Amino acid sequence: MNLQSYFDPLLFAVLPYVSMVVFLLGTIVRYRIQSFSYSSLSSQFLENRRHFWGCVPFHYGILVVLAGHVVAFLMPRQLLWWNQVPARLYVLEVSALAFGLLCTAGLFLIVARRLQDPKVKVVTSPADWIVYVLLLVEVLSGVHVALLHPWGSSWFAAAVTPYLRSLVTLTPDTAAVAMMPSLVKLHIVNAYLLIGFVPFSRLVHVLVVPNPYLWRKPQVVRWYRAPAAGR
Amino acid sequence: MESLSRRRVEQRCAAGWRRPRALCSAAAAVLLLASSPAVRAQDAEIFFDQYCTACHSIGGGPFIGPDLKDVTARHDRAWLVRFILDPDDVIESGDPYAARLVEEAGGLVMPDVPELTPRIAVALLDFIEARSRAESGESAGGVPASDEPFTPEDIERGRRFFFGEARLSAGGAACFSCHAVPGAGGLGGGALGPDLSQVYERLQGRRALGGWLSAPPTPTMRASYGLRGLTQEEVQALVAFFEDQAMTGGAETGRRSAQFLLFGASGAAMALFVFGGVWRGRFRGVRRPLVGEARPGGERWR
Repeated sequence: MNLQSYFDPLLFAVLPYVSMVVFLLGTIVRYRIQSFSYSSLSSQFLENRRHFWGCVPFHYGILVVLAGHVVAFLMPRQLLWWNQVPARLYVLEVSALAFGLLCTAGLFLIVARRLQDPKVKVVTSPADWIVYVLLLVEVLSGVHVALLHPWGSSWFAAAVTPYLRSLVTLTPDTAAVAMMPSLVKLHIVNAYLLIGFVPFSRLVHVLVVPNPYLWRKPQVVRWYRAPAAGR
Repeated sequence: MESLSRRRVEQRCAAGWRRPRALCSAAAAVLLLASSPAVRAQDAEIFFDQYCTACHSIGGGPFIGPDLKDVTARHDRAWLVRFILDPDDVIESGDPYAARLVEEAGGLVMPDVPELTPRIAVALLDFIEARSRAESGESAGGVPASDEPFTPEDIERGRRFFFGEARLSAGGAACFSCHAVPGAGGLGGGALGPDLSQVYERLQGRRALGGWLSAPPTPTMRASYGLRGLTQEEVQALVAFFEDQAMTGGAETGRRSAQFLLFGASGAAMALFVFGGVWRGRFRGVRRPLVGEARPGGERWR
């Protein structure tokens, strides 16, 4: 028995449940007692020049990559069918890598802006920095896994989905993930930490995204102050 | 039938006092054995078929690992239990018998089987001992027995299975999702699993390779193919493909990471271009003039 055999059950069979319980209870409790803080504190995201190139690529990148993970979890057979033809697999993998790179580049810009912009600095809390560290580890390890251990879309469906499903059915089987490369394990463990940290951070905004903004009529906000009055 | 005696394990522990990990393994084995009910012989047989036949036979001759006929007569049970539970640990301890086994297997180390417990290990030894006394030998299932050369059709069928052009009947992932071989087109094969360029030589030929594919012993392969096992025809075709690779393939693995990164980066750049285009007029018509007017001196906000 080596050290790994003691830690693997802890990291892959206990931690996921702990993080899910913390996530569920934490988000509910926070919504009930701190509902007004239940979002991201302003990051001045209407600022148009610099933040656009961080915020937009990061969010579209992470949404697409996350959706890919969910599809592999929910429809592994269909995904394996798609990947049956090498050309189709390559298209999927290159697209996923492209969005992963967009997400990485966007995240670096976001972090750089937060470090430099005084307006954003004053609304930055230690929890934000923890979120950034967790996100950077997650995104960088994900891109590294894609590059060093291809083809993830297939082996996720074949080997990781059975593990995740074993967690859902409360019969955790960690054998397959225990043998995965360290980078993959880091990616998985960090994802659990990220999920567990959601209730304590700005990440709760993913639960209260104002989706109707996508289809509601445009609203123009006007100042009542006369321009001549100045500030 | 000899059972694992506590005294012998303790003797082993005393001899191995400089090796705390080995000591812990053996102590854990004793404790678990003392507190666990016995494993039924049928369960041990099922376990053997599922996990061991890829590399071992009982009386059928050596494959990747040694023939296990009369293994309990060759070495004492305490050592065997310890080796079955954690082969790496015994090998790393510098045990000469373990070193010889690794050498005979061409450097391949028996994989850890997380499902193994000390009582299953003892039951396996009981099963092997009983089977060793039987007349007939045991051999791994699904192994191509013939030494006849494979036909080009066999090789082509194997190639199609490997690259996913033909679907495995039970729906398992195509080999190239995780493995690379020379001569792969496009962006090449995967890299989660080992490069299979030399797999035919590494596993020392048809029989062992066929046995391995029929009942893969590693946890990752079992998770992927446990419920989606390969048929005998698929195993045969893949063995043909790997044998042909061994004879004709080069050393080039067919992995093209740099190209993959380049394509990905180009895709990302294209997406940025699209974002820039789609949101080109963002706030330009309404917000910027408003903000500009609202600022002292009418300066434009960045």
